[in-house]
Amino acid sequence: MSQDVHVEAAEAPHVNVLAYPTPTTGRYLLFIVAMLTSGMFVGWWMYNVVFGDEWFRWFAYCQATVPYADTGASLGETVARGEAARQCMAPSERVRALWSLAGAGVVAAISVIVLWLIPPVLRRRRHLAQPPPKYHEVISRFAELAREAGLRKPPELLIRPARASGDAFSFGVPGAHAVALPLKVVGMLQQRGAAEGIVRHEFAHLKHHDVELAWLARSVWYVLGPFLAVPVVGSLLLRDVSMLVPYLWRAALLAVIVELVAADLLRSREHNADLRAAGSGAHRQAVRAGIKLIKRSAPKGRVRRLLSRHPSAESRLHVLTAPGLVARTGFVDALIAAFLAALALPLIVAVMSPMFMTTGWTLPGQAASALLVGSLLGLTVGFSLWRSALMSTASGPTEPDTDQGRLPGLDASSRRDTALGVVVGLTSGASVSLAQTGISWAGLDSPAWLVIPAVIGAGTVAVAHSLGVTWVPLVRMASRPWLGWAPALIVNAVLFTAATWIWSTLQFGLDQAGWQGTRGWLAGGSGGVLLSLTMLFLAAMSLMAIALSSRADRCPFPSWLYVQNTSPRSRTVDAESPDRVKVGTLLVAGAAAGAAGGLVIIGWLLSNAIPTTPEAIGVMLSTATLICASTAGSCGLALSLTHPRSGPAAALPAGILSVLVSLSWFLLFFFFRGVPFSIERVSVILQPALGTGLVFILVACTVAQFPRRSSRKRPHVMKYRAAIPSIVIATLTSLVVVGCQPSPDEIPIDGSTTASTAAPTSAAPTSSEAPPATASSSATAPTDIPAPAEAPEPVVTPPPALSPAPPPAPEPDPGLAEEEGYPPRALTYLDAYEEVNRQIGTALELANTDPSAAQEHLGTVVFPAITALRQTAAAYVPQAPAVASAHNDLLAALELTEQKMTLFSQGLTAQDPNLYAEAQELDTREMELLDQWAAKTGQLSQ
Amino acid sequence: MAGTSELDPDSARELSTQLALLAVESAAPDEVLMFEEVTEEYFEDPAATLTTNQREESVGFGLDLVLLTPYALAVSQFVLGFLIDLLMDGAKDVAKPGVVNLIRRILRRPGQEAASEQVPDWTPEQRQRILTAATDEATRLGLAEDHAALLGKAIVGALVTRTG
Repeated sequence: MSQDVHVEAAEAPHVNVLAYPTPTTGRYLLFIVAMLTSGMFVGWWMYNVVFGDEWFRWFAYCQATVPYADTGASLGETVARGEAARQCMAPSERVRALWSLAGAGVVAAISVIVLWLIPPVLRRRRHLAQPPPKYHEVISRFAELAREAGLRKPPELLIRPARASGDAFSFGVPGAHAVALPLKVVGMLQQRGAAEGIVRHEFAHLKHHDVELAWLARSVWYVLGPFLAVPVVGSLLLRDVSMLVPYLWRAALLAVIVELVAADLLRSREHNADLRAAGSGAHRQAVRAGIKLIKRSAPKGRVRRLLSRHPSAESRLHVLTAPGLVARTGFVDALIAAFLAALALPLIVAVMSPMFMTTGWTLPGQAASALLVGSLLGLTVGFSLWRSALMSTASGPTEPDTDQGRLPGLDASSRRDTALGVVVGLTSGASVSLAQTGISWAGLDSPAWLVIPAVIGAGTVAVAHSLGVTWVPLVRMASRPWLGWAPALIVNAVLFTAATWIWSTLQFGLDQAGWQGTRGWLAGGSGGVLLSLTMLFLAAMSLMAIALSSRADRCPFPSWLYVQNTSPRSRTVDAESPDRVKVGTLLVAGAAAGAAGGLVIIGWLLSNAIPTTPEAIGVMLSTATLICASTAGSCGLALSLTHPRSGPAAALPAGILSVLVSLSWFLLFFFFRGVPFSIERVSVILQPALGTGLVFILVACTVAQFPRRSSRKRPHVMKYRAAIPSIVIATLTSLVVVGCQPSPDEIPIDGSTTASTAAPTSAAPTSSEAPPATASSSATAPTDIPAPAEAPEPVVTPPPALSPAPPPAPEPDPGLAEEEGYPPRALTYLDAYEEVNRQIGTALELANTDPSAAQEHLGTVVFPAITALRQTAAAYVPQAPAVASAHNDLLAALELTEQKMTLFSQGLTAQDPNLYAEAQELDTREMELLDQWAAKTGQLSQ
Repeated sequence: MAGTSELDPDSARELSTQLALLAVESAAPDEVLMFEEVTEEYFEDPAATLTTNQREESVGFGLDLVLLTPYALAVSQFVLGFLIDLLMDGAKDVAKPGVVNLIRRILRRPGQEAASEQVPDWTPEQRQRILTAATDEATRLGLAEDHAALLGKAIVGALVTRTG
């Protein structure tokens, strides 16, 4: 056998794919998270059934107390109104979020119980039994193999009887695993050979935690399935079927997808188990012999193949021969991961956002959701791309050089397939998510904005792939596997978290605040300092890889990257590749784009008067920010077009350089005009420009994937061939930014919030998906560009501090406490008033059918209720004038309520329409007073 | 086929089990270890043990292996009847108990064989008929063709090596 291995090694090196963690673990986690979040929906639904009326009372109260922003209100006012409305709804939304969490918690808890119940059920249903003592030889061989596999505690050996013979499989719970073997395999285990391969394969499943992951996923589905039926049964019982159809098709589709994804994950793990069982190659023949025992033919038909839990025997044998194949990634893998992420994201956002509402800053809710979903997406899609790039390069070409000597896993079509999978997965997952049940398609007013996650997702795949390719040479210097895969995990988690944040907030911004609000969102840095830091981190990782790659090329790939006894390669595949970006190339491209953008800025500043008003200064700053950011995107596009594989990664450091260069031109302009900028003021442009620069790079990388390239090697035209396109594209995009700049009038600025920093946000107080009103440093963008010292104009307003000083401590104001305390008190009055109104409604209904009963209801219920409410309200005597003014409106309204009902009662007795008409007039005046009361109360809560 | 229907059940079970064991020893020696248990199962519920389980298990290997022993038992039962008919057709004067004893002698293991006892020699034609009958029966029961052929040869081999 060792000779065979030696021959194999001489023919083709076997990469040790398992040296890197498998991305299917991330997909399993995404799968479980997606199912648990579906449980959140059921919790949310149950809250609506139990506390729906209570929630609507809150909603009505908030609608009444939070004043609407007028049609012509500034963006700042709209933002403030949205935030006030969210704050008002916070207590109610938080309870709803807790119910959603409880839904997920119940599913999780029962799933764990089911996980523990499955083993005894399997034992009974499959008639599994312990082997009799006469099988001692087999039992001891089984234990010996378990030791060899490195299992600390040998699993229990169970035997399938003849009437239930079939497959060998593993099951159990953590710490108590079992392997069930059919009698045939038990018999074969008396001798070395195929049976050992089968048993080693099962032990590989155990060692790989496949049993826990697979059975936990199955347990969650066993619980979630019936759980999803609760809203259906409830809707039928409550005779409210309004949500039934949109819910049912989503739930049904979810069921189908769960089966498909579960089968796909199981198939993926089989290859890994085969490779792990083959170990260093010594057991490869045994595993191969085991696979050859499979007589089952490959399932006929696409559906059967998709539902199959095992890959075909042919593909398993193929992977054993060429392990690098298992690292390949493509459309289906990306589709599954993106779909699950998009399925879960809106539900997680809906739960997380209310949790942070009372902080007055909803960004953590959004960010936490992006962190959870984005990082899992990075660990699956992004990490797969890195692993694929490494393994295919380390494997060496299996075919004659076609395009730069790449294996199929590395070529552009694979990257495009992955990007396409992400695009389809994100758009379809967002549409199918249970979170969208009963609301508009994909939760958007305009479903066209589904294009946003598609564009950002495809760009993110391009950047992740490019970073993976760029990092391959550095793995040559890694002495341990974790030094190779740990950066891959970190970089991709960060990249995809940022991408998730970008597309979710950008999409919502465009949908809710339109171009104007989104422009402000982009000019404000698209989410604050974290995105800028992300850009810096990714650029640093890229630059490090590019700078060290030439040195790393001299090293052979490390031995841990290969299965024992197969010879490591010392290939330097990428060294001469025209596609590889050198440091000089990216520096030139970045500087060129920055210079082009800077020149446009200078031209624009020269052609306009120096801004003097805060509004005009805000426009200038936001335009400069967007131009700087656009130069980064231009770099991305130019480098991606000229260097398809490594260009997107190189665009990150090049983009930072272009931002710095273009910003330098802007600063130099003011410097020579005698207006130096402090570091703090520079950061007002730099920080958002970096964050938004990353957004533009992702968009550019998507655009760059469209052109189809010839597979033939392109001639090496010139060393810095990215410079010219950088200049052209940066000039054009900067001109577009200038051309699209709003006039100061178009961006009304409200108080401390500039147009350039206002986040798009929901005007609806109920929306928990609203992106936060940013609290980043850019929210205090200065309106203080001082005029040149010698220039007589413009007139300079006294510059406020960059970070406004906290307002002076207010004088003790006894009225203030009373003002703050009145809104909660008003809520109790509102509750009582609604109860009175309900009783009035009952009396009105009775009046049509049974006037005497109506009179009785008025006398025994309605009038006592009105009197009680009036007495309660009158007992409170406010001192603060503002409170007194509001409260007097309420008292006057309640007086009218009593008068109105008295007239109605008299009209009922006399059957006099005139009295009804008078009552109607009083009702109108009463409503006016109540509106007035609500408005004044709302102002008190500001 | 009159065969085993006129044989007492205990004798039929004993002879078919013996023939099946001889066949399994030859065609699937790894199943000898569990032959006893599988035989018990088979006689409790023959149909269940002859049903192929195609279920794909989660976290499994993907196998659909078939045990030969239940088929060997079923085919042996069939062949036993076939043999009785064959022997009685060939020797009209032999009483049925005599035929049964003859088969019992045929199926005795080498160590059990008494030198004085006579066993029949099978003609090539008879061997072929037994082989065809066994193979066809195995195929009819659902065994794959290659396994059926293997089992048929093993059964004929078990009979021949003790007679010829």
